[in-house]
Amino acid sequence: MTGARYTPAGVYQPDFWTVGSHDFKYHHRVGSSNTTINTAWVANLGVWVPVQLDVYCTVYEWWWVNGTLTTAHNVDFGLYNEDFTKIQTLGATAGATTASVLVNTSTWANLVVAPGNYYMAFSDSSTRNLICSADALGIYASSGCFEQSSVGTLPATATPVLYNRAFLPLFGMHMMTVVP
Amino acid sequence: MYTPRNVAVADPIMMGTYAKNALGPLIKGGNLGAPTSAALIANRAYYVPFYTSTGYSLARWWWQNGATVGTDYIQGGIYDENFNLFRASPRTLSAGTVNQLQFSTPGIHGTNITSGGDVTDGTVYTTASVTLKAGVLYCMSVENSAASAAVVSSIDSATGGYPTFTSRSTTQYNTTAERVSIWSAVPTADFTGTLRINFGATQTGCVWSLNAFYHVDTATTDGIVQNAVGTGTSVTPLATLAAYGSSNNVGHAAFGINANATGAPTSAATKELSDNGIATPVQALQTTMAHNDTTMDETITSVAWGACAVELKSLGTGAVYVPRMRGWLAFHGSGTTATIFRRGGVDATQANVFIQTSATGLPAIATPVSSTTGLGAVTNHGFTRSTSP
Repeated sequence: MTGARYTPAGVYQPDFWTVGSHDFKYHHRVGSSNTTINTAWVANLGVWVPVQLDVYCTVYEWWWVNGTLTTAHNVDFGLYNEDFTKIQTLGATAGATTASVLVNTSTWANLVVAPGNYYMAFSDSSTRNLICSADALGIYASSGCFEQSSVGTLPATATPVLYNRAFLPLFGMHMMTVVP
Repeated sequence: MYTPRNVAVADPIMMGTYAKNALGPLIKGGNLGAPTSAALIANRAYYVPFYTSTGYSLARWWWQNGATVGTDYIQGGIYDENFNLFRASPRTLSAGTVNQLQFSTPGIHGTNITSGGDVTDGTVYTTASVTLKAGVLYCMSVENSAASAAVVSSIDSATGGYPTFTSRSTTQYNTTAERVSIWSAVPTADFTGTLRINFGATQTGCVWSLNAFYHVDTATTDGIVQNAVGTGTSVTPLATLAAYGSSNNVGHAAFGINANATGAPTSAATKELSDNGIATPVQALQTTMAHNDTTMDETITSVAWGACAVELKSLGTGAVYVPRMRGWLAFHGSGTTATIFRRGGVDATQANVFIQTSATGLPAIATPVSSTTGLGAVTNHGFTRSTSP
């Protein structure tokens, strides 16, 4: 087939220092709405967002963005393999309650990750407002997102379903690159 | 310390038209917005450029249904950059949850390559030039007439390197004055040229149809599992197959009729692949395909008819391999009722989307034209290595 003549990209493709749930390079977002929309969360809803990492890196913290109000809540973050088995999760952790700020985790253990395809996972125990995007239902599923209910603490092995929401929280991970 | 990329990272789990492997960068860079629900244009095929950077295990096809599902049939496919069909999903009825993804596992896809007819008395009838691809199943259906319509003696070509065709099903009808037959071949190498349908005695006319079938297990008897024939004079030509070896298998039928008239499938689940006839003497041939359907029939105006049907063995619903390649993600919708998420208009034009009208689904070799404003669309569809959910 003629297509076999395709020449792959060069090897110099450094990853950046953060990968977000709406990142186009690492997540292939289909939607287009602004990631500034104050949205009431669904208690204990977990989301899995696919990401591709091109290089070895160390994930050293996670971040999310509180919406309005100061409701108390627990958050959990994690990195999963493509078969939805857990690599590492934070564990349910009290989240900052300050309204309308970006918050970083402080208790995540550094995790070295090889290049590959993973899911970033996030859950929140409350119905507090979080900053999200708001694209049509189905758009996020076509980006490869999945969801699971009743996972205030992210599970060892997720059994999610197709993402069925018209919003997606703005969250991600900070990382540094290391020699493998 | 930065470490350069040193391994091949698999492409996205949802490989699609809006991924970075396709038009995502263009659409995002232009801030053109997300796809929205809209109706399709009937029998319109869309071709969106894409690439895979490594081999990919295609477990399912997917598309995002819009606000209305049902009625129409959807098909996804992959073409190489020269518009040769590489993979195609089975023709699938739009169904499921509105505004949500629908999936289809790999299955058999059939499409017409050429059809024609000749009113001349003769022993050899020649098709238009065709290109046949190695490994693909081709079924040549033939309808011929004479005082005692003869069996096809062989199918060959004046051009060397033609594939070997084998008779799979045949019956005389209209007493003995007409015959309908199905022959099969699986080329071991690509072939381009005209094909000759040969008889041992002079025939008074001949109609033919060559169809291609993808995703067929051709290891034994070209993938032909069984055959059945039927004759009659009713409005429903029929060949009844035995129970299929697998629900993934497909029936393929050829209906010869003693009239220069058309036929019609008896249900929307049956796809008509070709329908053509000649006037002197009057005779016509229709070919169809249907998944796991033992009652291979169609509807005509009452006249003498003969029917042949064969069961084609599917390779199953397991994942298929897509190599590293550059090509086209194709999409086809049969009607205007079902909707799908897409971006149209100028977005498709600037995105190098090609379009083609094709009544029988995705063609074996696409001959598309560049989309113009209002006619093209970047449909939200693709394939995935995820087997569930």
